[in-house]
This record gives sequence, structure tokens and C-alpha cells, in this order.
Amino acid sequence: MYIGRSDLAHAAWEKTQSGDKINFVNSQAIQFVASLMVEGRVLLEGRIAIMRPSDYKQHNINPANLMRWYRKMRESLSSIMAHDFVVIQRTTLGTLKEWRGVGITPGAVALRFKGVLLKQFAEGAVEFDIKQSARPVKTREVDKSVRRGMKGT
Amino acid sequence: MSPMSPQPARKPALSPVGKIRDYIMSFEFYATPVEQKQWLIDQIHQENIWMVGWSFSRKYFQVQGALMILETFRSIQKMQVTLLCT
Repeated sequence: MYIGRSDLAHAAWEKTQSGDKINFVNSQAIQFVASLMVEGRVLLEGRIAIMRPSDYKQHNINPANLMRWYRKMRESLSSIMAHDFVVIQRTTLGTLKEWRGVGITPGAVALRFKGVLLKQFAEGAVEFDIKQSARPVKTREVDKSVRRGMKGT
Repeated sequence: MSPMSPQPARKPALSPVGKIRDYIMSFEFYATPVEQKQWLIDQIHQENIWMVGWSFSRKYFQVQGALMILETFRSIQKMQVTLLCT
């Protein structure tokens, strides 16, 4: 799903072989991928996202207002997360990897305690878990670890 | 509770324009449908907001997602709705 602001840009469409598709960059939209339950046993990762500033500049779009709006949305979303829990991954090396850049809400924490699995993809073998965080996860910390995490994958 | 998994585990997701790449700005999360719906309603309760729903297939979880979007739309009566299903 895409969320836009008409004071930034109206939804822009482009014709493709498979039909009309939204032009994400020209629309200056925020992508919202919902975190969804699969068959009542898996909770999939959701996300909000926008492109890099350079992607907008290549299309002669000043992304400053979009960036400002995105940051506001991200801070708002981050504020509903359970900051006393952190998403972790058990690795084959026997270590626990903390994904502090990934948020989890109190409701999702409750689902995990009921046995619901946390995954990025429904068909993926990789599962994530949670643990109580010794220190609260802060928004600024989330930003840094997201970038580091994405670069490492 | 979860089986051992190889490292690195997290895969780069598809970008909003369908290419595999790393975002400079993204925030990943796990949340219940109720929590997300409430958050969305709180965020988009402005007259200048537009939303476009998109579904790549008819898989169960994606249909569930479309329903969540529709429920959100229904909660905000004055929104202009464009829902594109492929």
C-alpha cells in the first residue's frame, strides 16, 4: 500500500505491460507493507519505506518535505513499539543476534508468547524471536542499526 | 523456540519499485492488524492524504492485507479511495 500527500504530489501512474502501476518516486509516496498473520501461526514483518534522496533528485524532485514526513511517520510508528523487547535471531554459530532496528509492538510480543512465529517471508525457513532488552530501544539507535543491518544482508 | 538458522538471515526486501536494494530509509516492524490499523488511522486522518492499495497475488495473507486497507478506508469516510487490484 502506498500513502501520499496531495500537497507533495498526486498519485502518478505509468502504463506497463501488466497494466497501470503507480510511479512510486514521482508520487512521493511512503510504502506501507503491513505486518500480517499467515494462517494464524506466522506473523510476517511489515515496513514503511521510501527511496534514497538521490533517486528523487534524479527525477528533479526535491525530497526534503517527503523525508520530513517520512521521519515523522517513522517516529510515530516507533513510539507504539515495545521498547523493552528486542527482536533476535539464533544463528548457526550458536549466538544471539539482536536486530534493534526491527520494532515489535506489545501485541506482537503477546502473539510470540502464544507461539506465533516471526518471519520475514511466509515460505522462509528463518525465524526470529524476542527477548527482554536490558536497555530500551531508542529511535535514533533504530536508524543506525537498520542501515548497518541492511548493508550486511 | 525457533530452529537454528544460517547467517546472515535477513534478506534485502524488494524496494517499492520492485528492485532488490537496500533502503536508506526504512523501518521494519512486527505488529498486530489492530495496532497497525489504529496507527494508520491516526496518521492519515488528514484531508490531503491519499492511499493506493496494491496486491500482487491472491495469497491468503495478502487478501487479509487488502481487507485491512479496506477497513481503514471505511474508518475514514471523507477519504477519496483508489484501490487497484491486479
